Amino acid sequence: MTDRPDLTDLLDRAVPDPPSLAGLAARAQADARRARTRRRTAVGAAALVLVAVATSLTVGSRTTPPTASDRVALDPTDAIPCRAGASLEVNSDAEPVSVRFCPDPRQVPGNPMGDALVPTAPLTTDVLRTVSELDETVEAAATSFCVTERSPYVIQIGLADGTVRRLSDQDCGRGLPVLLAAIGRQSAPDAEPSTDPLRCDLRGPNLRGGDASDPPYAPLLTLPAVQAVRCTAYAADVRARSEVEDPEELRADLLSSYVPGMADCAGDPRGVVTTWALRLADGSIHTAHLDGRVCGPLTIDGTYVGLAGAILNARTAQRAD
Amino acid sequence: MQPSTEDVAASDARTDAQDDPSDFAAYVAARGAGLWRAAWLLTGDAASAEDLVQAALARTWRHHRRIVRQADGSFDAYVRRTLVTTYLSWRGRRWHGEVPTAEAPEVAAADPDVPSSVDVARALATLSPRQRAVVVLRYFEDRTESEVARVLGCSQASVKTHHRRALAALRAGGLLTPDDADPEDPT
Repeated sequence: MTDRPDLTDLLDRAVPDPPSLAGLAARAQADARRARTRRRTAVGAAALVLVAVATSLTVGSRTTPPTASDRVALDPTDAIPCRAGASLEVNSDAEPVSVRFCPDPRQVPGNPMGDALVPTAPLTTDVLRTVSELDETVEAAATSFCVTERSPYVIQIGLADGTVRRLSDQDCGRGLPVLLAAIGRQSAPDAEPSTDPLRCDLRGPNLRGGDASDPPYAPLLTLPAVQAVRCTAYAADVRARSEVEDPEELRADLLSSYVPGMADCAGDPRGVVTTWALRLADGSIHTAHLDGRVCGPLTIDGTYVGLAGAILNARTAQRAD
Repeated sequence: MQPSTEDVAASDARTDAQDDPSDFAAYVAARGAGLWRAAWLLTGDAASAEDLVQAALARTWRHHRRIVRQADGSFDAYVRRTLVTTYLSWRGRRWHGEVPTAEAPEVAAADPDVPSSVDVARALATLSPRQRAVVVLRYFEDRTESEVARVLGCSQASVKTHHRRALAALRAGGLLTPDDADPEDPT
């Protein structure tokens, strides 16, 4: 009689040999193209609906709540209603078109779903792009995109077909929405414009609190950015410094251009280390740090956020085009 | 004027031509079999496993060039994560309770004390999708608890719970003995 194998051995032995997977890459690419075409067609249809609605209604005569697709064109500073009872899991392939930060009823007793805060335009663009890019994980497990009890907001994503996806769950709190919720507070009064030059802190991050696998609970960069500089350091002590043309776009990129995870690669000593200094609307100064030598971990004010190297470089390059 | 579907498709084709599909094909050729094996354990049959791998690749392909620049294996990790999350997203759509049959094409183990492929597939089918994903990630992909939590997007406490219940179900089904696979020390 043979000793009974452990579960790892059982699984290894149970899996049959795979069939021929010839052509699998081509089929996957064809599927991706079809899916992308469907999404773009849906966005085009939503835009037509938006035009039709905009030309047939006036603000004063509106008696019904605006649809999700209406909200695309809203001024980011407007407060818009949240939708109570939005479904946690929406089986819809429609494109995300709007983002709202809704007061969490657990945080605001007696006010189950009040007016929402809407991110600034660059943030909205990046949030929607991030949600769209990571749609497979949103669709798969809405609980992976959730807000902890520490967050004052629930995030609602309006889809092009008018449905609303609600991203909230008490059972988890890792990833994008924690950061997204943190950026909901953006209505503080502006400080007097400062003429002091910004300086990069090139000493690298001084990580706070626990190990780097902790989710970033602390609110980060919670107000619009009004000034920013970017400093880069190369292997041979070559350094460069430049003013950031649109600080708010930078803030949006920093808050959304990462994937959760730990740095786990061989590293590249020739990688570029990038440091940003940002001045926010209240005059406070903050630092972000991206280390291209070790897989691109991003820290903001010393808090590890996630791996951002490839995504952040791609986005900042795209902005520069 | 809105672009037509043909215009969009043509635009996609131009973009796709710049994505160096040969690299992606090479990745699939190198890792496809491994992905299929994990998918088989998640789905329990060969055809669904191939569908799952194809869907995961379709979802990740457009990010391939961007992520692969990191040259750190993160694309493979991304695909594997997407494989699991795609499986979980399909649970309510495609697989309404898969039932492995005795006529499965896999060859049964010769030793009667060693469970066959059918036995394993049948035992895994009794688990919830998340329990099943935890078992595959922990024991087949040899991931740590914290890694599993990251893949599933939940807390380690949730992983522990799914893990404990999965092992209990596998013991109840006879695949494991009471001494097998202590959840506190699964390796």
